[in-house]
Formats: sequence, structure tokens, C-alpha cells
Amino acid sequence: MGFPSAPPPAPAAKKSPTTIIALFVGGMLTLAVLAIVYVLINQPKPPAPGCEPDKVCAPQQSLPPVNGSPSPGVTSVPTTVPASLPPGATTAPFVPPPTPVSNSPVVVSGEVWQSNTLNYSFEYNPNAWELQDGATDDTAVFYSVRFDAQLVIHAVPATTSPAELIAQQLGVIDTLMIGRIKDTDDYDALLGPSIGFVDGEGDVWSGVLLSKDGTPIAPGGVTVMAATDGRLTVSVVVLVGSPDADVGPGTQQHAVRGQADEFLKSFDWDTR
Amino acid sequence: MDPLITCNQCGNQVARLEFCIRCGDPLTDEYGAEQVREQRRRFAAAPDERLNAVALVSTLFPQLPRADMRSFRLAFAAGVAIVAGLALLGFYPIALVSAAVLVPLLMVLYLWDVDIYEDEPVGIIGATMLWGALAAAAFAWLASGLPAPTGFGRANLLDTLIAGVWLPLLEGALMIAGPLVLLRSRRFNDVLDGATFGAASAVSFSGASLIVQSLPIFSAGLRPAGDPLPWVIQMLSFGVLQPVIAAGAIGAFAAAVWLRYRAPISDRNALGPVGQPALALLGAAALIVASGLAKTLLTIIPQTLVLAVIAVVALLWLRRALHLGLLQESREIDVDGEIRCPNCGLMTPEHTFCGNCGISLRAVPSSRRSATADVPAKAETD
Repeated sequence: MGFPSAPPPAPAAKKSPTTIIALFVGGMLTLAVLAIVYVLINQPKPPAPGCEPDKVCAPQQSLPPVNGSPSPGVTSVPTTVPASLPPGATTAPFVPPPTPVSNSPVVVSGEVWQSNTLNYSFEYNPNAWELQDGATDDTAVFYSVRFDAQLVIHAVPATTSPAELIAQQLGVIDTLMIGRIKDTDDYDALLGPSIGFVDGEGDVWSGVLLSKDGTPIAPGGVTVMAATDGRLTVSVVVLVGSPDADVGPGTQQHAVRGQADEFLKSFDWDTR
Repeated sequence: MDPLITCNQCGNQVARLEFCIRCGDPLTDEYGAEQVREQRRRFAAAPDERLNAVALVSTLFPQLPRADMRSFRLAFAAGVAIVAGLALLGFYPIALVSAAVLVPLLMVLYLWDVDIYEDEPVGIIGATMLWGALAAAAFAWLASGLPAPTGFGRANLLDTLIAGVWLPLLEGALMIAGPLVLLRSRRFNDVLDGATFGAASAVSFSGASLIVQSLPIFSAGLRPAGDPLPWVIQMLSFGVLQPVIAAGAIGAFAAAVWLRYRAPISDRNALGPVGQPALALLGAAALIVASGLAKTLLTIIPQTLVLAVIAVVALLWLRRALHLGLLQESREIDVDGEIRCPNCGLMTPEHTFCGNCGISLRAVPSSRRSATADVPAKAETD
């Protein structure tokens, strides 16, 4: 007895193929339209410009007021020149006095973090940033207390160039973010990147942050900069969730970067 | 196909001709035996496919008659194209929603098309899918409360265990919890019932969890910044690979449970490890944890490759569980008149398999089995 060489022809389907495909595509499109409406309703407003055209514009304060910094115990002698002279008196050529030597303690505006082996340090405001457990001599990770943001400072010997260190940090970022591209928005541009008053290089990228299991969870912005003093190369990464969220006078990314200035300005390249 | 065939008469391997070129024996019996072996390697729910074929539609939707399979394949392909197209154009939130609903929507369409539970409470399968969606929402809420879901920092073993092992296992437990409630009902006593409930709950959980966890990106506008290529890959992973892994693992485990506790079989050990709920549970857990660890530890390209391999394993496991379940269930049934096969349209004695096309009649909705007895055949050539 033989077996049929090919299956018998199929009977007519209960629902036509066109119906099934149309229902499926229609269902997907309906849900897509609902999603579009939801997105448009929740779409963020464009960030308000810091200054209005043709009006005087004062710069915004970038850092919170410094609290709890010790006042200098000794102040140097003023070096002012008398404002006026008696009539007929002549003035001797002005010789600038020597720079006074201060014996006052170093002004510290917050907590000091110091690397004992690489000999660098910086300050941070513990009310604004929380140091993650497990910091090492070359890496310190901070969480913003107020915002959805992270700041990472990483130092390596200067054999690694700033560009190479930035590339390394972007490799790590790519495990946290999908579709990272350069943020070309003027509003988010990084102007004159420097760390501890040493000029460096850097840029701003945007994408979508991923959860640990790879689910896209929030739009993200990341600022990466690096500089070198010839002994060390240091990178600073500022990672912000929902960077365009409106927080008072600007966006969340601007607010976080403002807070991050404290790290950059207080960075001491050599504490030896 | 092997170009040679072994002659029964002389035992030599010879060319595939009508007679053995060495001893002149007719090779008819050899071809017949070969065809029997080939038939036995066919999938009981879709006899035109091999048992070990990686076929998504016939495995996830085993009760679809052959005439409808093509429609579902086309619909699935259209869905994949829509997801990829939206991601390429940069509409990431919309692509994400489309990916999340791709397989669940096909599942709903399948259940409506085959009308499996026409004589049961209308919402039985809807309730299963609703359970999956609600459990996913609760899970997403729980997951969002865990500390440091993302970010820099050194690899932390505890975080990795939570994200790669504990949370995926919790997901799996929630996916199967709803269908297991239905195990108490004796009305649902087919292995296909268990597999369908498990797969439906798993895909709805998978889709709903994705949407709920991703809600914040809907506030980033229609086209958030991002390179489209990684998005396309990730969306296909979310839309195809991850629901298939969930449906395969949970569906196969549910099938094993139904086989053990509900299916009317006399020799349950004949199913081997696939039919043992404890081993099936371990297998499902292994697939889920492997998938969770891949998502936690690997970057997008290797992660997608690993997930694809896991999805293939899950699909083949579910397929084998369905196949063995359908074979075993045939043992205790007597021949009872003739019916018209809903798959091929020809008359066949009413038992477990169609005598003409070989499909398991249990893989056809009962409504079609009973309704087709007196309907003339409307064979179409496609």
C-alpha cells in the first residue's frame, strides 16, 4: 500500500486570508494610532530659551549656594592704594606689593574625594550627590539626590589619551543605552570642556536608557568629557534620564550639568 | 535526500532506481519503509511539516487548519515589516508598541479564527490573556521599585542575580499561575488546552510588561533621538524572540502538566522526560534564566544571537511536547463513525488522526470536527 506523495489540497479557510491579514494589520494600526495620540499628549514642550531676544539677560547661577564651608581664619593685609593724595604731593612709581602668603585653610565647599594611589581629588556636595558604594582609586560613581542622573569620574595614567578614554566610556554607555547618537542641539552643546581648569574634549549624546534586562525605560542624555595633565587622563561622564524634562528654568540635563560643575571646578590634578 | 538506498535483498547501498542494480530485487518495499519513517517524522498538528522544523506559526497556533496557516504567516510577516519599518523611520515608541502587540494580536486572531472554546465560557481565553497583562503590570511596578535598575558601576553579583535570574523566574511564575487555575477544570483536558493557555498567558505578559516598563519613553516625543539600526534589532527581539521564548517555555511546561494530570492516557511514562512536570519545570526555568542572563550580561548583537538560539530550542521543545501529547492521547479512543477532515476536506474514520492527510484531529477545534461531518468538501488548490 502506498502513501500519498503529496498532502491533499486544503479545504477553504473559515475566514478568508484577506480578512485575517486585514484584521491583523488593522489591529496593529489602531494600536499604533492610539500610541501616537498618547505620545503626542505627553510630548515635552521645547525648552524655553534662557534669554528673550532684545532683553538684558543675566547669567543663571550654576551652582547652589555653598553651605558649611569654613571661613578663613586669617585674611591677608589689604593692598589698596590710597584713592587720593594731598594737593602738591607727587606719587612714587607704583610698585606692586608681593603677593601675600595666606595661612588660611583651604576652602572646602563640600565633601572631598581623594584617590590615594593616583593622587587626585575633587569636591562634591553631599546634599546633591550620593557616592555609590565600592568606589575605587580610579573610579567614583555618584547618584544625583534630586534628579535621575549619574556622574562617573574615571582616571587612568596618561598613556591613554582623552579620545581613547572617551571611546572606552562610550563602550560602557552602549550597554546602558540604545541607539546612541550625537546630540546636535545647540541648547545641549558642551561649551569649552575642561576638568580642573585643564582644557579637554568632549561631547553630548542622546538615546534611550535600558533597564538591566534591556527594556527601554527612558530617554537619556549623556555628556562625556576627558582631559589630561600629562600624568593622568581623567574622564567625567554625566548620564541623565529624561534629559528634556522641564525642571524650573531649564531642562533636567542642564540642571544636572550645572550641579556637575562643582566636580569639574574643584578637581585637583595633583594632591601630592 | 540520500542519493542511495539500502537494498533489503543484498544489503548493499545502491542507486535510487526501480530495481537494485546489484541483485535485481524490486526496491518498492524499501521506498515504502522509507516513506513510513518519513511520515513518522512529521508534526502531528501539521503533517506537511517536519517534527523538528523551526516553524513559528504551526507551533504557536497548532489548531490552525492548513488553509489558514498561510494567512497567519503573511500576517506575521506583515507585522514584522511594520515593526522594522517604524523603527527604521525613527518612530521608536510606536515601533515598541507594535512589537509588544505583534504576537499577542496574532494569538487573539488565532483564537477567534479557530473558535476553540465555542462551547465554553466566552472569556476563558480572554481571562487567560488578561491575567498575563495584569500580572505584567504588577510585575513592572515591582521591578521599577528595585534599586539601581540601570547605570554605571562595577558588575555587582547581586544585581546580576536579581536582573538575570530572580526577576525572570518571577515572570515565569506569574505567566503560568493563571493557566494553572484552569487545570482544576476537567473540561480542559487536552494537552493542547494546557499549551494554548500557557502560550496565551506568556505572550500577553511579555507584551504588556514591555509596554508598562517602557511608558517613560512615550514622553520623549514620536521620534526620540537614536540610531535606527540597534532599535530594529531590539524591536525584533522584543516582538519575536522574547515572546517565542516565553510561549515555548511556559507552553511546554503547561503541556507537560496537562499531560500528567489531565490527559486521558494510560502510560504516562511513555512520554519520557518531556512529559514529566518536574523536569519540564526545570527545562522552562533553564530557558527563562538563560534568556534573562543573556539580556543582562550581553550587548545587543551577541544578546540577540543567544536569544535566537534559545527561541529555537523553546519552539522545538513546545513542538515536541505537542506532538507527543497528540500521539499519546490517541490510545484510548474507539473509532466512532466518519467525519470530514477540516484540514484536507476528505472523509476519514473519526479517531485521532485523519487517514488522508495525517493531521491530528485533536489539533482541530471541536467545533470544526462536529460541524464538518455533513458539509461537502470544498477543496481548493492554493
